[in-house]
Parts: sequence; C-alpha cells; structure tokens
Amino acid sequence: MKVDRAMTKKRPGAALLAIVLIGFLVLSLISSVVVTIARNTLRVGAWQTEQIEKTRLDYLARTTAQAVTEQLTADPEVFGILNRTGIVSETKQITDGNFSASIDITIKGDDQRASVVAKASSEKGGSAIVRTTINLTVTPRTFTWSAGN
Amino acid sequence: MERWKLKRTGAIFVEVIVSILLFTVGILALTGTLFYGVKMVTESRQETIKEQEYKNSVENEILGIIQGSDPSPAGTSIGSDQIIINSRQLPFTLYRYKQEGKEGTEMYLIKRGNTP
Repeated sequence: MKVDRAMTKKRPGAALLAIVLIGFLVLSLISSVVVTIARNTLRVGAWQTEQIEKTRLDYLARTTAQAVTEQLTADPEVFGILNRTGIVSETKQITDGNFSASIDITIKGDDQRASVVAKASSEKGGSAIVRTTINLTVTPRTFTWSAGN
Repeated sequence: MERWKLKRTGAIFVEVIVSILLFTVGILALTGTLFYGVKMVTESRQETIKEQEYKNSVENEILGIIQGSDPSPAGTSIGSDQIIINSRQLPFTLYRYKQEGKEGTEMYLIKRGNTP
C-alpha cells in the first residue's frame, strides 16, 4: 500500500494506522483459514463415526445371515416349513459397552428356494439389511448374497 | 512531543523491543502451527493405513466364517446366546474385534454355534 508522505507528515499516526489495518487483515485471513480447517476436520470426524456404525451393523447382519443360511442349507425345514408369508424371529438384543443393536431375521421360501433377510439396527437409528437366497434345487445347495431389501 | 522524548530518551528503544517481542511470539506461533499441521498429516497417513489393515483383518474373519475355514475366530468371544426363530433355537457366539489403541472401532461378528 502506498502511503502519502505529505499526509503522514501532517498526521504522524497515519502510517501506523495503515500498518495496523494491514496486520489486522492478514491475521483475519489466517484465522478464517484455521477455522475452516478445524470445521472440516470436525466434519470428517463425524462422517467417520457414522461410517464405523454402518460397517459395524453391516458385519453383524452379514454374519447373522450366514449363521441362519448355514442352518437352512443343512436342513431347509429346521425353522419350520418354508412359506411365502415368512417366518419371523424374535428380536435379539445385543449389548456390549456403549454398543447396542437389535437383530431381526425373516425367512421366506418354498420348495425351490429360501431367502433369509437379516436386519441389524442400532439405537442411534442406523440399520443394515443383508439378504441371502438359497437355491434348494441343486446339490450341494448354493446361495447368493445381496444387500438391502 | 520533542520535550517528552528528551525527558524519556529510552522510550522508543523500549517500544521497538516490545514490538520485536510481539512479532517473535507471533512468528513462533505460526511456525508451531505449521509443524503441528505437518505432523498431523504424517500421522493421519499412518492412521489410515492402520485402519485399512484392521478393516481388512475383520473382512478376512468374515470370509473365514463364510467359508467355514476358520474354526476359531481371532476376536474376543463375549459370550454365547441364541436367536429364537419360530420357537426353535439358533445358537451363536458373539466375537468382538477392536483396532489396537483406538476407542470406538469395535466390530462384532456372529458365528453359529452347535445346535442342541
């Protein structure tokens, strides 16, 4: 910034005022950059926590579906005669420390195939659904995985 | 003004010293922030690698359970229980996994138990 010499001669504090203003501007810019970085870091932290919760529920649903599928593959009528209305499990609550989730299983099917839907829901409102479809017409029995409804 | 300066000849020198001190403190703070930022970036790289390794190990455990090739999962067993489906029992064991030294990274896997 060009400082008018005549003006500074007349008003001895004018140059200092300009320096203070520039300093203030520079510090404001640095502060805004720091605040933006901090805000983004917090946002990333919140996103990571959410992702961990999702993964946790997904793993729980996947292994639950696997456990039920194993049983059904060995004996398709182990939980009763398969029907299209669906066999629904009692809700299982799983708690460990701060973590708490509930598991619900629905089994549907006929003599051709069976489908297992495992749903893991947390108290925070998140949920994960995993489905397996067992082909009962082939030996050994095979099954396919899918996520969601 | 001149009279004041003559009376207190060291005033400007003190002002300069104070301003240098303030400037030094500011520069040191900025340098500290810079080093802290660089350190954070380096640590986050290591942290990402560790997190990925942990996630891979849990995924491998799931794969082991699905393939039936993993008779005893590496996680901590936190008890056996059962799910009731149509009045019939599905026994299971719950396993907990945790990334070393990091809270809130617990993962849980279910492994089917033996049917009574």
